[in-house]
Amino acid sequence: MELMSPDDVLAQIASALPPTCRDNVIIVGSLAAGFHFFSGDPERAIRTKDVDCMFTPHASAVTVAHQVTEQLFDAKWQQRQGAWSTPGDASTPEDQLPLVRLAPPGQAQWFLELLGAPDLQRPDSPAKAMHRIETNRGHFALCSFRYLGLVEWRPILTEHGLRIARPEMMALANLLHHPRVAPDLISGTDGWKRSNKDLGRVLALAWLTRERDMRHDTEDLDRWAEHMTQALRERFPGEAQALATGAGTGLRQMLRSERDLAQALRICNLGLLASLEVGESAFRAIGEQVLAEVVEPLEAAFHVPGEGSTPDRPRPHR
Amino acid sequence: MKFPALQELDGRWDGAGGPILVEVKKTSSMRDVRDMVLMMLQVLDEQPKKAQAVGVLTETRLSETRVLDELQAIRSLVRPDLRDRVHCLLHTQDGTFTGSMMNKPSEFYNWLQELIASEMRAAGQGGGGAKDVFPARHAVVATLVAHRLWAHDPTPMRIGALQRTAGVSYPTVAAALQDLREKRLLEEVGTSVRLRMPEQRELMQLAREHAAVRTSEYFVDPTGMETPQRLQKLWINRQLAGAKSEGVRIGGVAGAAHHFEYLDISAPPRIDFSVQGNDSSFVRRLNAGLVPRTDPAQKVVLAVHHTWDPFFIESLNGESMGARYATPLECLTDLIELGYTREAEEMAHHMIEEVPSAQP
Repeated sequence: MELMSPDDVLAQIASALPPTCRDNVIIVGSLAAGFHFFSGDPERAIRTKDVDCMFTPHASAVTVAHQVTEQLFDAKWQQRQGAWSTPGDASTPEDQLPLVRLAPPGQAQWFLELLGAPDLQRPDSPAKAMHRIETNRGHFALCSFRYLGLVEWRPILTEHGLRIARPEMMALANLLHHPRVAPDLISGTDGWKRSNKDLGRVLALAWLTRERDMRHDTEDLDRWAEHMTQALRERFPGEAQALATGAGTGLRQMLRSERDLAQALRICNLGLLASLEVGESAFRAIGEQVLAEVVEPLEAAFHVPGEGSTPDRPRPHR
Repeated sequence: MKFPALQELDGRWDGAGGPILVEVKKTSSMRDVRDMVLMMLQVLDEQPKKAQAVGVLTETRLSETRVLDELQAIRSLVRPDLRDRVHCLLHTQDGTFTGSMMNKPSEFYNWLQELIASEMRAAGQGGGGAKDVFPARHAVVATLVAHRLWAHDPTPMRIGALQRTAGVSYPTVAAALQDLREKRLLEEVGTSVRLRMPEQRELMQLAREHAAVRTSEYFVDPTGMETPQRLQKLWINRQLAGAKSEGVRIGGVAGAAHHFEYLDISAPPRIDFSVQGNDSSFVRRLNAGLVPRTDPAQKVVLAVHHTWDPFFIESLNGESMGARYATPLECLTDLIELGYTREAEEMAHHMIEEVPSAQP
């Protein structure tokens, strides 16, 4: 993967999207983080191939995603080739349909992956849901992840007219999505666990937030727990306490495992932390800070007296 | 029954509503409670009308109801101008208070917590564990220095008060005083003592000796992003938000600048905290990523000094902000350790010059 300027990529996406649809889009993932932290700095770049673009709100996500897909096809954007790239038809089950993954004309460096906002009105909404999109090129799926509904909380409007997810909301979604370090591997990698990638991303986001705080004399990382608390209360009112209580279990597990932590760092150093050369002791240090300054206050905000202390407290200083 | 003199009570709080005299007692005997209340009434009788007195029971098996019933029974027998000025508090195991004096400012109860800890140490019950990490004899010296150079109190201390404040035994006090006597740093008036006003070089030497006897922990930040300024701001914000001090005080350059406004050091390389006892768990609450230094070449961002700091003096000089800062001796010691010798000498000079009684 080559290094890309987040400014350039975001500008290109903004110009490709119909103006009427921009308000329905939130950019998430590496590009959102890269733009938030590196925008305006020509020395800083990101490595990613998939640019996640979430359509929101849930009620109009499929309609708008369909409109955008048709327009991008008309503008010569190409469905990314490879496994799971051939469009289905009316007989194809939704979970067998390919996602919309469109690369701009004339380049294969990155592609836009369309996602949909989850339906949080349904208390039993699944962790992952697929919604059919019928286009002139065939049938595709719009995927939605339940906890990614958090990025709809106060997204940041950029000068390109597109909104990007707040780093702390992406971090919380990842924490909730991985209550433990699962053995599931990322396809095409040499034994990389999906959990390590996503939980490591939490630490990378915290690192970049702290670094930005030091650069701009801000206190954004200090407000992560407060924002997470508000977002959980607003987006998941019926289960906020249970989610907050379990938010740190996967991260704690990863921090206990030298091997998982090292793998998470290796993945981060190829992505968001590329060129920063973050070492293992520093990565662990930011992990301990996230536990103490983000996870524990989040747990405490929902702690009910008499229900016992939060489980699995981290150890004191080594 | 022999009634003690006022100065032999355990503590005195000077608040806006008048002084509160305090006696701390570890007991589960109702007879002790009765004696304590009667003793406080006797002392109160010699005090201004605004003065109040409270007996604080620690580690007691007596119930609040029983203690308050007894207090009420005694009150019903005494003069009206005295009865409502005597109180009882029970100090519970979780560090809270119950009893007949629950409407005072939080600063009073924080001060009371530290007084109790000091009394427990004096009685050899642990408390902050300072004696485990700080030579008891030097606690006497630190107390006398603070008494003379921070509280600016020229009144000699009674040996008993010195013993209680430093939290050490009588033989230890006697040995420490003998050391000071041999160095010609002691002034004695009957059974009371005070530090002779030291010269600058003597104060610097006392600080060097202080550095030699205290133990310290040094923390480094593996991320390289932490700064002493941020840590100080965090700590102060947490204190302002009502967090307990946990016996932790800001020392180092920040503390020295608090005591000596002309201190000419900008951008200190680290933040220093002085801690009563051997607990440094507060560091994790400031930055959980900090780790102990393993190599002298590593850049230290935070230092914790386990020391003896006679905080009681805060209430004597009414310096409420002082609750956040280590004593001048501690800060002076930090400056010397950091290599700011010239600045330390200036501060020592200032400390001596500031004491009114030092003037001829």
